[in-house]
Amino acid sequence: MLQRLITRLGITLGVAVLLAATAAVPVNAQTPEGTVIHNVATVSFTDANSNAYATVSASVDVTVGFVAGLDVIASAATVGPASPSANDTLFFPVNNIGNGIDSVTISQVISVAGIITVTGYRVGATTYASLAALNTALAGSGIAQGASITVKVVYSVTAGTGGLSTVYTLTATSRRNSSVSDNDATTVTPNLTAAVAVTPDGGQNVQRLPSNGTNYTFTFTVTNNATGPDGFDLLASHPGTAITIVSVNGTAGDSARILALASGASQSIAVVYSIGNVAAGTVDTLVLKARSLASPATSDNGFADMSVVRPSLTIVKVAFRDDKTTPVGAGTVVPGEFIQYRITVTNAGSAVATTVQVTDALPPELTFSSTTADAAGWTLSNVGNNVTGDLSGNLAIAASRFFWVRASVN
Amino acid sequence: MLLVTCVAALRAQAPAQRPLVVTAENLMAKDRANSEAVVPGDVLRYRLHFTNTNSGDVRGVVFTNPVPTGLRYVDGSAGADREDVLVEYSADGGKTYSTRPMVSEVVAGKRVQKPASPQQYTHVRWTVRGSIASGASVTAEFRAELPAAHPDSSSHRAP
Repeated sequence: MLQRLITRLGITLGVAVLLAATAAVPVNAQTPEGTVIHNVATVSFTDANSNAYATVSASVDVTVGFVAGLDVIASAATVGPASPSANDTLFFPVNNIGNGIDSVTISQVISVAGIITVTGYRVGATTYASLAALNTALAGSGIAQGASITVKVVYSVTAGTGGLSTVYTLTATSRRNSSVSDNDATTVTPNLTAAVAVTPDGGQNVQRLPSNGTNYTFTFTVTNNATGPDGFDLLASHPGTAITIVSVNGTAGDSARILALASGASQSIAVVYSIGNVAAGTVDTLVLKARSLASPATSDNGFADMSVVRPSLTIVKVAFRDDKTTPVGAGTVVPGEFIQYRITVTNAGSAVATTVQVTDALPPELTFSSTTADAAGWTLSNVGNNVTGDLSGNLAIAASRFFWVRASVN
Repeated sequence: MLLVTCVAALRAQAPAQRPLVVTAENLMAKDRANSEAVVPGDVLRYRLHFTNTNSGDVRGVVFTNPVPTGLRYVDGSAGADREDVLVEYSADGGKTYSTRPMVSEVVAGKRVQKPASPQQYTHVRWTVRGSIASGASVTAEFRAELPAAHPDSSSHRAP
């Protein structure tokens, strides 16, 4: 049985009769391709009468074939070049851990496009403009067992990509056995230098009436001046007492967050606020701070200077003779005489007055006769001696309007 | 010496039967295109086939096989096709043999004896206790591995 098996041996690679023996030694390294493993066996024996005979030796040789082995080691797991930048480098030693000379084909994968651009590959002192050119050169360049080559990948970084990441993977494939390959990767994350600007920066003197239920909106502009996309915490505040923050960028309250604003991009941020019922002339400032998410120490403030305005009316009533030109002054009137009262209303405040209404109650010594407006806009009416004047439209700041009330002395 | 002379004479008169034939079989190469080559990681089975070409019985037959340079003995692989064969090993280059060879090692400053690992075996010896009749044969065998490299964990090798 055993003999039959032996006769079917797949690789009986030569038998020789030798008298020498070879001592085995500890094995530490992979046996090189082409090595002949020489096995020598001996047998000794005696005959039935215990006569000794010379030992007999035989040997068999086996030749070691090729096994491919590659080990690619990225020199850095992560790198952080500037954005933008050029002539940055990644190093990938490619070690031949097979047991014979081999050559390799290099391939690459860049996980996220648009962050880096490979501009060349350097092996030794030669730079190749493309993978194809590199591989053409490597095809004719054998790497001895245990030796290595270093592929230096030259690349540039796109502007505005700070903080983004892409994984560069380099794969080396054996040319003698294409099923054997190895790869390693470096994560490229360009540095993000945070910078932000919020405008305007004050000086507007935005005049607002007390809200009385009406909210106001001020729009700031947040510009990301970082070297890459960034998000921002938006914090609205005011140092004075007039302003109450209602919402920021649509979010109720005094804060909000925006994410992934591209480098160089701007976004309008509406801050809704109200003005309290405070005195005219009260000043306050609406402040919007944008704070970098990537670098919280980096922030900028925008300012909107506010002042509270109100209309303020004064009224003057002057008595004239019936000719409307002669003031009664300190003179006397007699029963049956008509008096023309000129009632003048003036806006002495800091805001336009609307829905102005003047009422005048004539004393009982007089009897209402008629009214006359200075111009269109007045709606004049009376109920007995009680006269009312309603002014349509606005009464501008510092503007005056008047009307006449004619009454007879009883 | 007689036998060697005989072998030399028989060699000249083909087909001659040699008293000792050594063969090697690559146990890992069956599914490989190039089965002629042995590559790191492969296991070889060596067979030592002795035939008594004398006219009478022989006894005291002892096979000795150094583990070939570059190979490692595979634990428990030595055997023979007869029951009366004692298998022993050497871990000191063939100076001494034992079924369980020992090696010395310094532990905590003291030299101690401990069993050698099969990878430390340098020789294998088979001792046939009985006699072998004229024309009969006995076969001894063992296996040895061609060590593979130890690539890093990120290496990718197709199955």
